[in-house]
Amino acid sequence: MSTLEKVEKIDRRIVYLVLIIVVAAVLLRPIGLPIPISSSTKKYYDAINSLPPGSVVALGVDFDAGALPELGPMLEATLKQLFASDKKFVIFSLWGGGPAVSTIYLNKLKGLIESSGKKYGEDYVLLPYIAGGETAAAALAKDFKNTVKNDYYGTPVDQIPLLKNLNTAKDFALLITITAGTPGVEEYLRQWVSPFGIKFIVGALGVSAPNYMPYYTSGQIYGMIQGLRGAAEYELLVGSPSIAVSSMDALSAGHIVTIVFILLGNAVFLLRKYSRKEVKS
Amino acid sequence: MAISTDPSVWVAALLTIMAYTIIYKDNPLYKLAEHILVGLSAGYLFIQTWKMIYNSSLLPLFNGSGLLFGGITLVLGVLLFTKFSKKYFWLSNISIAVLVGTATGLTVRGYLFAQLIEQVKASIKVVTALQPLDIFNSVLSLIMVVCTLAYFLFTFEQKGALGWIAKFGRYTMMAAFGAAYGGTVMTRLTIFIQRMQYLLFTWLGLA
Repeated sequence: MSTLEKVEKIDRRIVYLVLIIVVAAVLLRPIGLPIPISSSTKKYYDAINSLPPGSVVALGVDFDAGALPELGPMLEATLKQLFASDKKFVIFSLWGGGPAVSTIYLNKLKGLIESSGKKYGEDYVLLPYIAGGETAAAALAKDFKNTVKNDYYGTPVDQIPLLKNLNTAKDFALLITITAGTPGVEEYLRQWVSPFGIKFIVGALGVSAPNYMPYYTSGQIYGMIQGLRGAAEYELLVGSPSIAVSSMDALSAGHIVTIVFILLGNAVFLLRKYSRKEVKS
Repeated sequence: MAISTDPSVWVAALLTIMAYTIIYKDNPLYKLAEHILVGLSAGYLFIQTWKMIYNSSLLPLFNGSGLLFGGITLVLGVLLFTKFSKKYFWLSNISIAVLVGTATGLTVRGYLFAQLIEQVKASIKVVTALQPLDIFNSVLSLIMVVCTLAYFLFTFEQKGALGWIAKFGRYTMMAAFGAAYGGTVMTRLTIFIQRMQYLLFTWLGLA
């Protein structure tokens, strides 16, 4: 087997090993690459800051544990910004794992919640999983209070002060979704944004963000955090650099390894193609 | 280096390593980790869904506040299980018809405005763009949309001018797929990096 053939047929476990070594090395010895802030992340941050005091925000935690590495930091930073602000918010979920993820971060931020002075039931509420996908999104938009009978902890909704005057999507100043897929952005666009004209910001996976760009460029999505890179930018804006910021160097190193192997593979492919042509001629 | 003494951290770390053994080759440790994940996810989702069904259908039925709503939804839900019967499977079609009809009606109503008309408006926003770069971006975007749509005109032979337009549309789509692939790489790497951070810092206590 020639050298080119050996490179072309390289065992993928060698690729994995190189990736593991590079990522581990950069995690243990960070480089400190700069993280410029993109306009879409800035608009996400500004959308929350620009709301009048006392505004109620609808926060859809629409992902489960599988998307925690990328969307968890976004949710944590969003909760930090909301708890530090003078806004109220309602957390709900169209995904089964959403409430569990929400409780993980609410427990993690217990100290911040206590120091913020925000009271459960008056300033923020956690609702349970609402099954039904798009029909659930539509039901919430049309009749928010009556779609859910209790909050996540079993308290009837008519005993929760914050939910008293929340009847339709119009009663919310902003809709946020941090979503791993469907149900998510398109369902909210069809059932909340288009009929009720509510301002809409999105936290999306890196794999999904390109699909939502048409909605961002058309203005239907006001601001968007795109993947872990967006989460790192958002953490810097919120003033609380955390896990996303610390992952940036390793992410860049991982991307460089991927690019090197893609270029190597294509170069070997082209060289073999031309050497076969020369042999034929 | 301060290795964690928390049993939950050890369980998570060992399950992570067991899952990653797949990159060497398929093995019983990987299968065990996979089955634990599937079982836990299914169990958790079952409980969450049951709680929702209980609160929205059963409770109103029992306390009389929603006899009609609770009764109808419960019956439709139970009818879905007739799918497993060779004799009565046709009853499940009633529930499926309600599900499909409701979802289609909601989607079509929203799709027209949210995803078609708004997107067409955004594609021709060149007339409202102000900055030179915005004008260039808008014009380029409009050309790419038209060329991409031309690629899918299969009722005409794609030669001559249409051939070139369709070819440019194909390159536009390739660029879009490249961007999507880049996003996919970032998502997969993120998951891997987060696991590495857990193993190196939370479990082994390095740095």
